[in-house]
Amino acid sequence: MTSKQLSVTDVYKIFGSSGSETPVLRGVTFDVEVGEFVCVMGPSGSGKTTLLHLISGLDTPSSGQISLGGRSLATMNSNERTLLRRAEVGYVFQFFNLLPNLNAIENVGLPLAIAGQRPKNHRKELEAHFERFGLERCLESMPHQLSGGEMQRVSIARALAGGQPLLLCDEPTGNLSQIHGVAVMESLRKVCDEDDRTVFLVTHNPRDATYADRVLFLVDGEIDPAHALHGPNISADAIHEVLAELHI
Amino acid sequence: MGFASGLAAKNLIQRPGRTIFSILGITVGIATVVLVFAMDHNTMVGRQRKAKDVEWQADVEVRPKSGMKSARRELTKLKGIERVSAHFQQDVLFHGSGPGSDRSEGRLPERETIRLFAMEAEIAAALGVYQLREGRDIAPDSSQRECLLGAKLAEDSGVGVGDQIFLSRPRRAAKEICVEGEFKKLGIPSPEPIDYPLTVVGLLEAEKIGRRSGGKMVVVDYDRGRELFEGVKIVESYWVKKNPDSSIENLQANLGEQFSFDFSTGVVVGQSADERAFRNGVRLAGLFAMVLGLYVIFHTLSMSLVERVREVGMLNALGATRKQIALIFFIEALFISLAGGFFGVLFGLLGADRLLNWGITTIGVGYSIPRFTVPWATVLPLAGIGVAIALIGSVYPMVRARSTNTVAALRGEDLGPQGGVTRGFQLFTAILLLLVLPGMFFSIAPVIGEMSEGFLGALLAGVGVLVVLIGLPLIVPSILTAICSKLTQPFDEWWPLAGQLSARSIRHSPTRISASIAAIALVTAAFVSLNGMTNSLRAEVEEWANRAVIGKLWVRGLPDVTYDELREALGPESGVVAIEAGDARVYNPFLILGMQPEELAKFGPCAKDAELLKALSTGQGIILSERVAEHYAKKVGDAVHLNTGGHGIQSFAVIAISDEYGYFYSPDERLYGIVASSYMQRYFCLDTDTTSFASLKLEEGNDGSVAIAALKVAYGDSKKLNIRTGQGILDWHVDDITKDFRLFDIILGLTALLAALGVLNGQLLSALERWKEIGVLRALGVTRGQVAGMVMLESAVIGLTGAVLGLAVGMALTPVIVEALQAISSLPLPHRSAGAWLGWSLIGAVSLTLISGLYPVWRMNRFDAVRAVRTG
Repeated sequence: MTSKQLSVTDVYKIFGSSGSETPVLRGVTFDVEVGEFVCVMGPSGSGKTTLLHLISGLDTPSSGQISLGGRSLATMNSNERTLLRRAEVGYVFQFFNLLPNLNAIENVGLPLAIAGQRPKNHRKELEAHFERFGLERCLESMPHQLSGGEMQRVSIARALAGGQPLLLCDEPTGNLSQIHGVAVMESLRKVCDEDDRTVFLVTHNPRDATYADRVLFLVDGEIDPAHALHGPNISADAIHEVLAELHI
Repeated sequence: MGFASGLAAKNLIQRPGRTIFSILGITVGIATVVLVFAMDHNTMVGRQRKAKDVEWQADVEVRPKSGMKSARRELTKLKGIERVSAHFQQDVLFHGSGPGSDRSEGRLPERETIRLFAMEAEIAAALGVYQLREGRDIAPDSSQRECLLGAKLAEDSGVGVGDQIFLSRPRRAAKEICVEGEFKKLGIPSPEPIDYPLTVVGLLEAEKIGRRSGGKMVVVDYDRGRELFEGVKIVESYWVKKNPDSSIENLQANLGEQFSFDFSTGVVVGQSADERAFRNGVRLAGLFAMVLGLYVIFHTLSMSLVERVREVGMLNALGATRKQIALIFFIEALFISLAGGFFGVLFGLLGADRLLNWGITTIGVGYSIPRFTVPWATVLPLAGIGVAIALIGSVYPMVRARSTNTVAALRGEDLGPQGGVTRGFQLFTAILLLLVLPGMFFSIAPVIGEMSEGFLGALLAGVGVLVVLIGLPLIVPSILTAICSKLTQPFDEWWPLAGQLSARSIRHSPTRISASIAAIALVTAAFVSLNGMTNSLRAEVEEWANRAVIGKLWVRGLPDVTYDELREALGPESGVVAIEAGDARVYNPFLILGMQPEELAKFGPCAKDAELLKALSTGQGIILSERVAEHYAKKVGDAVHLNTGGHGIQSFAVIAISDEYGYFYSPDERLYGIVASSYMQRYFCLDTDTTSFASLKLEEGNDGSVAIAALKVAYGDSKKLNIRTGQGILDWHVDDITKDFRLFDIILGLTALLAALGVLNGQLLSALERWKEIGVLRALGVTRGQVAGMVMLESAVIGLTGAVLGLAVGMALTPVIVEALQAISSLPLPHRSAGAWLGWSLIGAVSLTLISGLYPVWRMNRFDAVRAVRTG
């Protein structure tokens, strides 16, 4: 039996003030099931990152509804959204955003610390994340001592450490070489398959999209369900075809 | 809390430069103000203790003017008085009946003259007049005749507690007074006295009043004393204990015209006009350092958010609440503030101890302070203010952290429009630093002495400067930024990259730039105005010296020679025009010197005006020094009344006001008058024919070397011979001013360090904020030298703008300060500018900011270009 991890209904996001309004999202609607790996593709400036910010509650839509884990964000204030994000969302950033003052394992333990737990008491679980992504030798390394791929995998480990069911990934391979990018995407797929976590990925890289269960295309602030790709239909060629059709 | 404190700890450790420089800033600010007040406290306590160590003195000794009934009751009604005891002291003849005394062996005792102190027994103990070694106090209601004995007297006479002693009034020799230059006896000796028996109930320690007369003294109840001296006129006198909460000025005003009074040295230490001016100046310098220090730190802490904007966004994205993020900032600020407060107190106290050991005090240089005590009641609140202000400085980043746009922060964008929050905060900061902090400061460390108009004017001018230099940049920072930006424009042509980037950096950080400029300007203004003031003081001394000491020699330790003998010893080639003798002197009511008119006729006003000479010689005229005329508001034609004893009160007419005659360096006294030696002889029976201490007026252009050589030949055998030149005395006075103001130099040095730290902190934060930009520039081929040039240009512009602003303010403030000092000290101060210090201040300010830029340059050049270009 499946249930909805995320529900986005008729969401609009308009930037700018009256008279110089710029609509970025225009009536976006979709659902994501628990344990599903969904990818949203679109060209630069199509609103992918804005969509992620709205889903995570970092920003609020101009109109429309977003539910996370069955709870609507619409009626929540900033603090309540933060607490919901803490409980439901693990975030993977394009630029890793590791705290430069903390070493790798301290960065990974950050969500536990934020939640009021003592990361030292969870050392073994944290180390397990490092083993899983082949980062055993990086436990005590400072961020600037890591390669880009390592930093992103530490960032994924951090997103997992808090145990949140939904992983929001913003162009996670955008700053990585192909080899490192593949390693990161395999890690995300592994998380989805083995941990039953939901992964929501935004990217403009067709190769990354092939790891998803479903691919949505965001064009001019809208998602056309007719162009969505599902399971077995997802391949690099199929994605390129859709991209060509949509003139992306 | 664990998360916030853990992250705060990491931030503090991983950013050692920022942490250390922030702590250092608070430390220097608090240390300066603690140093000033610890020094002032110990200066006062030390001087008072020293004064009281010599011998015990009542806070005030009061004598009612004639005609007052029940002076004691009137005194107890006055505000500012805690206790009053009537007292008198007289010589008495003593013999004891102790086991070791002669009387116990049946022989007629030898009488010995000792000192008797009569005081109200029940009050004396509370006044702390004496300290008992053995026995008890005199019972006030005892019908017994009781007494307390000095230690030495008890030891020598063998008298102990319980023994009986006998006192008797001494036979007085006939009183001698000076009449027509000769001492004459008045009246007849008093008759043989009668023994007055007393029981010894206690022995005194050789302390306080027990030290008087070498311990050969006795204390009796006031009424018993009056019985002993029945029929003898005793001058009514009272010891008064001042209420500690009352100021000297208030007590003086309350005692008013009804009483004459003498304050003890201990009570009036640091209370004279010039000492008050000096101490208030030091305190104001302390306040200045504190405001500057906290202003700098305030800005450092409030700016510290900028470079961490992405961290705030990321933490929020990971689920950290605004409260948790704010707590991180608060814990960091708390640690920095407390550490700064702790080290500030520690180094302030250590510094004060060291400076006092070197003889530097808040009333000048060269005083010895035996023991160091910590005035916690002042130090802790001052440190508390420092810590609190530094903590308030962290409120801004907390408020901004709470309102930061997380999405923008994650994109690495600016914090967004600052709007009302920032403006409101800047206004709050301005009010806090301009009104609240000085208000709190003066409630803890009030101004010493009366708030004269002059002092109030200086205080208001000081606040005005603070308003201009701190308030304006805080409220409208864009003014200074625009000026600085313009200053970088010429460099666009010569040094395009540095000029362009500096201008952009300046425009981008108006508050930081304004704060740095204001700090530099404040210190520059302080240097300029202080040096303007000390130059005025030096000029006053130089002008006086040109009139009074230049062209003269002083010779001390002569073997009482006559004028002719001295002239013979000097020889015809010595170039000595006239001889002024310094031996014939009385204090009545100020220093009066007797001099031979025929000597004074050879130079100065008497050489030019025969009438003046005549009035001095035979017309009972007096020439006053300029300072004594100013002090006593006397002008030519006024009368000065001298109490001569044998000739009663004699009036001398002021015939001239001049410093050309009569100055002697020991004691270094500029308040004096000169009368003809004949009057000194006639009224005071002083020898005016010989001298051991003379001032020699030299011919124009004579350097005195021949006279010095002649004096050494004639009197060189005397070890006491001491010769000083006028130039030497001028140098000694000028050097004294320089030494006295050394403490100000130290405080200003500390404030300069604070200003430098402010510039450094600002640039460091700016560097950290711009690390990516710098990294990208490096990746694009910008050399380390170019990065350094960019920062150095910004530093130079800050230093130059701050210095020019500071020079302008300092030059405007100098006359105000000089006027205030003149109002307080009554010194006729000529107005002078800071002179060479104007140039040195400019060079110093620019150098200081350039040096401050070195660490940020070093940090910037360590940024990893690869890391900068590969991350967002």
